Amino acid sequence: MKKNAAERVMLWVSVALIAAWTFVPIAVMLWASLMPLNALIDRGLIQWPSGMGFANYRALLGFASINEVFGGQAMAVARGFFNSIVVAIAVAVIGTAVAVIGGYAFGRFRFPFKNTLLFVLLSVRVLPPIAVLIPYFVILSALHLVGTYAGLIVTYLTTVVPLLTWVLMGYFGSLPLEIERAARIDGCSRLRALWHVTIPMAAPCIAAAFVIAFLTAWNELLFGIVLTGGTAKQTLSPALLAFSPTMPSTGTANLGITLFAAGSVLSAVPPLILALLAQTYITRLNVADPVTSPGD
Amino acid sequence: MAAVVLQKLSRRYRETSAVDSLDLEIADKEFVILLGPSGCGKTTILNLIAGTDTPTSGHILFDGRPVEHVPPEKRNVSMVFQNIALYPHKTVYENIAFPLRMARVARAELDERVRAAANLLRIGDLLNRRPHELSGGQRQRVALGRAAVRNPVVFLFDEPLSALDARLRGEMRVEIKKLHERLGATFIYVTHDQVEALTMADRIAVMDGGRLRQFGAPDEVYHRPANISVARFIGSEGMNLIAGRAVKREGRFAFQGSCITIPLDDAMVAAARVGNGMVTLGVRPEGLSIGAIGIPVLGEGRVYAVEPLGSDQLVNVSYGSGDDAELIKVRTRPDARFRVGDAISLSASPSDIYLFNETGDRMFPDDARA
Amino acid sequence: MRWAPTSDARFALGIVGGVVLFNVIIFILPLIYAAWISFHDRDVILHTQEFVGFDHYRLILTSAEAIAAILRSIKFTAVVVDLSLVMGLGIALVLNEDFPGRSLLRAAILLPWALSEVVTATAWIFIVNPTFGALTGLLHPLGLVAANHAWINENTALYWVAIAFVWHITPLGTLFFLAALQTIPDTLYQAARIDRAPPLQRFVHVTLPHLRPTVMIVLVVVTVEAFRSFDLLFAMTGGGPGTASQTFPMLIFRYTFEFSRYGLAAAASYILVAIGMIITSIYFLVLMRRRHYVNTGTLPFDADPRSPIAGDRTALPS
Repeated sequence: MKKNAAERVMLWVSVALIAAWTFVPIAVMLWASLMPLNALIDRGLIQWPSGMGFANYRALLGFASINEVFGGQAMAVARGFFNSIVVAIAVAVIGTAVAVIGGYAFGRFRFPFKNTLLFVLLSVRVLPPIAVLIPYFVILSALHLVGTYAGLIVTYLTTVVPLLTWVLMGYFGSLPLEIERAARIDGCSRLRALWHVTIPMAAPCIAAAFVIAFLTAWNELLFGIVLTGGTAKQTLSPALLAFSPTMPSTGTANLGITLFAAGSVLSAVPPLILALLAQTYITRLNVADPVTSPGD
Repeated sequence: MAAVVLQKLSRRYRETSAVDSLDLEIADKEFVILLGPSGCGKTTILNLIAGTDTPTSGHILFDGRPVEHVPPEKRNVSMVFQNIALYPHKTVYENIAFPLRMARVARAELDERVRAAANLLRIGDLLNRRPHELSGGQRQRVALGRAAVRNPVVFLFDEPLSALDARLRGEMRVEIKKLHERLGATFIYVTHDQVEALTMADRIAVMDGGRLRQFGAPDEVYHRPANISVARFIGSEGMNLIAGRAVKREGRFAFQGSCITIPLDDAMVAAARVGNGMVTLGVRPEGLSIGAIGIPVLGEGRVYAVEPLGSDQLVNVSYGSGDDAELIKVRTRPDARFRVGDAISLSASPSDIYLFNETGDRMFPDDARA
Repeated sequence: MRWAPTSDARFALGIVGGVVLFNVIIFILPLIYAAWISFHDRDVILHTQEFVGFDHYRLILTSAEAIAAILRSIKFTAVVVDLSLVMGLGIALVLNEDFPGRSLLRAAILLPWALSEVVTATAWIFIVNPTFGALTGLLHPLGLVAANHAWINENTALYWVAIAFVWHITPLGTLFFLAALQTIPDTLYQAARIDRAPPLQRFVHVTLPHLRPTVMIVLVVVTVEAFRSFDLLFAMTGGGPGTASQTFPMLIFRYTFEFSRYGLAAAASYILVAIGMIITSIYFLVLMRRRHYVNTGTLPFDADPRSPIAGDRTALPS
């Protein structure tokens, strides 16, 4: 629909504001991560000091020397990166697989207690992690799962699976029925129809679910601290927190602040890549819908 | 190829029943069309035969074997859907090949059969395209190919042409009829378009509200409709139906509608006087003539609207006025001229008149005479 | 679709049942254990436990600090929900228009949500820090603030965390709203334009009614997320300065790790959970209504034929 000049100006102003709102905090952090620490403390963020560059990143990844105070933490960041990748991928793969089956069952069938099960499943989401922190710790340490990948993965799966199931349930429910019928008539049992036809058609949503699961595991802090903090399997968020100034108002600059910025940027990279990949995959595959109508 | 028999088939939901104790016998290699308005249960029947739905009671027999508890993938039927239902993520080749892959047919034979089916339907050059790149007609052909490639015992069609434009529909009707001749399989086809039914079927099962109203050859269904439902549905313009009763006037019997009186001859009288005398009179637009040529005469009415169709004209004639007015359609030559408001009188020969009793069944002509 | 229960249906249901069962156990067991802890007073040093009944609950519900924390949580949630709802809808409306770079912006908008709460805290710390923060850096040279202006103080701490949280969570709302906006048929807007309705009226009478269910959902989801959020607060202010930004989850954290009062923490958690349960019920009631939009494709009484989605694809008998 045509817009007059005033409307167009408003649109562009809004777009600019939205872009600013979204990018400025990130840009600020990015900028800080490229600065040498002294420059930052002396004159703040708004400047272009000498020594701008990737020194902080090199330090974190172990490619340059770094003062002893933060030597251990820096290594922890690199290791935390690796651990988080392992945990996040495991959670994403297992969580998505389980949620696909669960979501399909909830989205297509009617069975007794369905509503109760759904309610229980979703209630888990509402629970604040704090509430179950100690119990989880006690139970998992009794099972010797503290400081392991498995303990953390299982913990994350309990929050992630219900959410993914809900998302996929909605999507499976909206897929046209005839195509599954066609598959069954063409000789597929229910499971084969699910595998050959339904899941490929739900690929965009499954990709989205995978990303959500990955992000949830990647970004989580609390259980990372409690279940893996200080161990060899410590994940990224806890490792990063070692650099954080939690009281910015005291005015004394924390010595690791620029490293914190660099680490934060690094920790944002996998989610970014994943989100971008998922975006292109999702938009590319949006051909599922038009095919059910014979009209042009 | 199989004969399909439905015995007392019912599919009930909580408050309604989509199919109610249906009995139907379809012979092997026959092309049967289930015809009826939307919501009358036709698609449900198809799903029951295919196995994607389970009957509440009753039996489905393929060549005498009950199959109502056999899962769809084991029944060896094919189905073509109204909304095509091609696999969107597969190419045309893979779509057609899919049923054969599921049956674990060897690669060489699979390839041969897929190409044969594609050539049969003249889509051989589209094998590498995806469904969203095809036109509506092409997609429908792919769906036909996928159905034909397996040599199933029964072919099911669920209103496959209803979303195509008129010309395409005409072409596809011929294609499907030819397909039937070539494959010699049992075709069960569902539609609400009576043109498709009349042109393609060996026999038509006219359905309404989950019940079978009439099952017979197109000719029979057109000329000898069993009841009002059938009469109303068959024929490109429905039959004109006038409610009324048989009355005696000046010693002669006549049919008295709200605004139309038609004298009845003896044979009709005998039929009309059965029951409480409530009668519906039916006459097709093509069975009426303009002017008082034959007997009985409908009397004089006024031209209400004229619908030129190119090959002929439909004149809408109104009798009476206000709430009781009757609107009668008559088909006539394209070159005759009428103006709205003109007085006009219609007549019909006795052989074109139908009488239906108060439950809607045909009383006249009764089948003893036919 | 309702097929006769065959063996593979049972198999699939078995898996689902197993998964749900697993989840329930993982959910219920810790809860029971936590309840048990809440009724006992554990002395970590002496390794003793003493049954105290509902003492902990009473303590918390009468403690000024706890009540203050709960109120802060509520205030925090209210601010977050209001801001993110309005912003989410506003951004979605803009993203629904056509302009070059739209798909790029649509992808970019998810960034704050994709970043962790820790990273969000980092970014906002760099904006808000008195000495080297961006705000000071921009406004000080203009003479508007002092060189070390403390943007975060007792009065503003909670609000700054709220703003950072809004930045983080708004994309979720935007996503939902955008999806909903795209289901509004264009023809409705055209009809409104033909009827000469000005833009505001079009928004009120065409857009808003369609969005009502989405608003409910976003409302509930954001409320839940805000109410139980901890990570961002912890990384950005740690509850400070003092206890100025101490929400209820933060207090529970301190009970656990600073004071080692596990019983108290467990009891407080239950109070938090109770409030959370109330929210789930609202959540579920929303879902109950949404059930009409999920096509189970079974029977006519299951799917609402009037809904735009189910109406097209429901396998109604014909």
